[in-house]
Amino acid sequence: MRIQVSPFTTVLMDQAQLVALAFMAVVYVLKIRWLLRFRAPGERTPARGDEARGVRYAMATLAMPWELPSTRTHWLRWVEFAVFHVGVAAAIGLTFAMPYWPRVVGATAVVRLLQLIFGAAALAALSRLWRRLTRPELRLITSPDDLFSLVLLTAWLVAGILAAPQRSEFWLIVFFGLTAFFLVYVPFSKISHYIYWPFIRYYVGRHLGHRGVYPTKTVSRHA
Amino acid sequence: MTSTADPTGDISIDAFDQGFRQKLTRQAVLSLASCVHCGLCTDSCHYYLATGDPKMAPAYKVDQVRKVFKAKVDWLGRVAPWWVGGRSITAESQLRDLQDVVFGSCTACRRCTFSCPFGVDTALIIRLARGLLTAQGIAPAGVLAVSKDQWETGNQMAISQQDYLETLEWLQDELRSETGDPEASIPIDKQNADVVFVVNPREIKYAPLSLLAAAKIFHAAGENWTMPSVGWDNTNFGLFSGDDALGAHMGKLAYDQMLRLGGRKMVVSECGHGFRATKWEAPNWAGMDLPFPIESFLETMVEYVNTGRIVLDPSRNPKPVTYHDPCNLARSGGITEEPRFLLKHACLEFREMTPNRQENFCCSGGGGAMSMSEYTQRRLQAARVKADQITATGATVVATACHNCVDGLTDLIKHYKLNVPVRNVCEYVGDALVANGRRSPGSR
Repeated sequence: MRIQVSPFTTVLMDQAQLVALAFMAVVYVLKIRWLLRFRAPGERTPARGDEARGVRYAMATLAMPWELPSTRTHWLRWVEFAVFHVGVAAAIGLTFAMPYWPRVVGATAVVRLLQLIFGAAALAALSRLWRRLTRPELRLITSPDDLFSLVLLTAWLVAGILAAPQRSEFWLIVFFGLTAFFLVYVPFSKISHYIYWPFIRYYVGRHLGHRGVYPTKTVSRHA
Repeated sequence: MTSTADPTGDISIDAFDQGFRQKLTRQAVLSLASCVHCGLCTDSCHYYLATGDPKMAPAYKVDQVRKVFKAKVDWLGRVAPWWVGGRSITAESQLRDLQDVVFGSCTACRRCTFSCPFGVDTALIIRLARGLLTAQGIAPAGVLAVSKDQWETGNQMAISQQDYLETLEWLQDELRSETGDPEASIPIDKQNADVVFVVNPREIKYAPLSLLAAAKIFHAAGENWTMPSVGWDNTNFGLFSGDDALGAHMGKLAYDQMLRLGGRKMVVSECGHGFRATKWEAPNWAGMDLPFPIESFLETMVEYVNTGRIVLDPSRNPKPVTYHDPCNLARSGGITEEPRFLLKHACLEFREMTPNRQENFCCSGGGGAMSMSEYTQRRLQAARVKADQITATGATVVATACHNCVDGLTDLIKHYKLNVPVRNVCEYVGDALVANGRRSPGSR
């Protein structure tokens, strides 16, 4: 059962989130409009392969770590990616569920499961942070935005662990305060990469599918 | 336009900035905007693997262009460039540094694109930057010289028409001698031929054996073929220099001859970038919808074998052979199985290189690197990866389907003392040709 919270926290958990979410949606709409203003040259020659198949393959590689040489080799990095993003998705889900269905997400089993997911995701985030700070090739390209985004997401996931039981108003304020901040900041930061993902995978898949390159044929299937 | 760059023109950073904005396509913006700096591309690059230098990681190299995007185009970057790693170009020295990155440390092989979870097209961005630099005359001297030759003579080696025709005449004599057929010919400008064959100038100037092999194969197949007297160069330095106008110009030269001759299909000899440029890119650069098909000679040969127009005896090539996939054929052209099919039919023992196909490593001479003598040492250092790949196969001969790769591989083989000759696939096929369908005893 959630503790009784102040009117301020109630507004922060509900109306403030909706305003921030609306802001994010508007910025994303503008961003997609901006992106679509750039011309997108296509192929003028007849296809050698199947564009639609190429697009499907390009989209599906996200869930097929064996298909990319990088994730096939560094499969732990893919696991880390999956854990981290599942955690972020679960935390986003919690921000919607908590204000409207506090009892559903307040069940002990659900709370424990969420805490487990957030904890694993936070560890994945820390692993990413550690790598970013120690690997020379990553340090060279790391921007303040890269670090800030990662640190803040880690903090948000940790806040999620502490806010999930809904027994501390302080952690609810921290969790939802960070959420509102993210909703405003994310569209401008590197975290907005997920908005680009379907577009870039579509164009990569269409291009390589057209030329008969996607789906790829690799040594594992043909040696 | 008749030249790639005005060498007497002043370098203009404003023009670079303006050109940068104008050249941005949606695909380029996506590649520039979506990189999250995860570094998963790092060990896909042969430069990085051979040197361990973090500045050779693909993400770092693209980031040198991305910094301009962040500072000039990205929403947050225009307000606070330092926050997102943006940096404007303000001095000529920065353009020179960029040249070293985009020409000197990347062969635009696209291997990293296939490792990137997003599919960031490094080669697309590298080519975009190359084009902007080349327009200012900031490019390796070899790239500018070859581009000039293509603009002025229609071929990258400035071969005169007389030399070209005399070479074909000499090869025709060789063809008659080898086939014993006094009627065998290399037809020039024959109207309405089924195949119009365009070649790499290297085949005219330095490697006529591959052209002779092609002529033997056409002859054996009874093909109704021809070569154009002009517009015969399938290579295209516009691909390497990033100059779309040169790319369109070279494409049009070949396409116009095809239309003049009324050929049924254009066949591109074994040249990785030549095939990619002629079949895929130049129609886009030239804005042309071609009324005829274009195929690689590899595809043509496969058709000949499958339809019984040529018969091959693999015992004629008894040494174990491995195949190097040219980047432009495998990662940008979709051709991986045809050369394997041919080598398995033309050679007794085929050994796969690992990794291969779309995951194969560059020969290290791609992206025009063979014409950039100022970066030779770095190129050969990076070539260690390919040298190790070849050695691991235990093959005693190497086949590839690209004249540029032949040069790149030959150079690294000499440098690393591997002692394995490199030849084009058609040369193995030419050697395995069986007259009248008779095979050697004991061959499969």
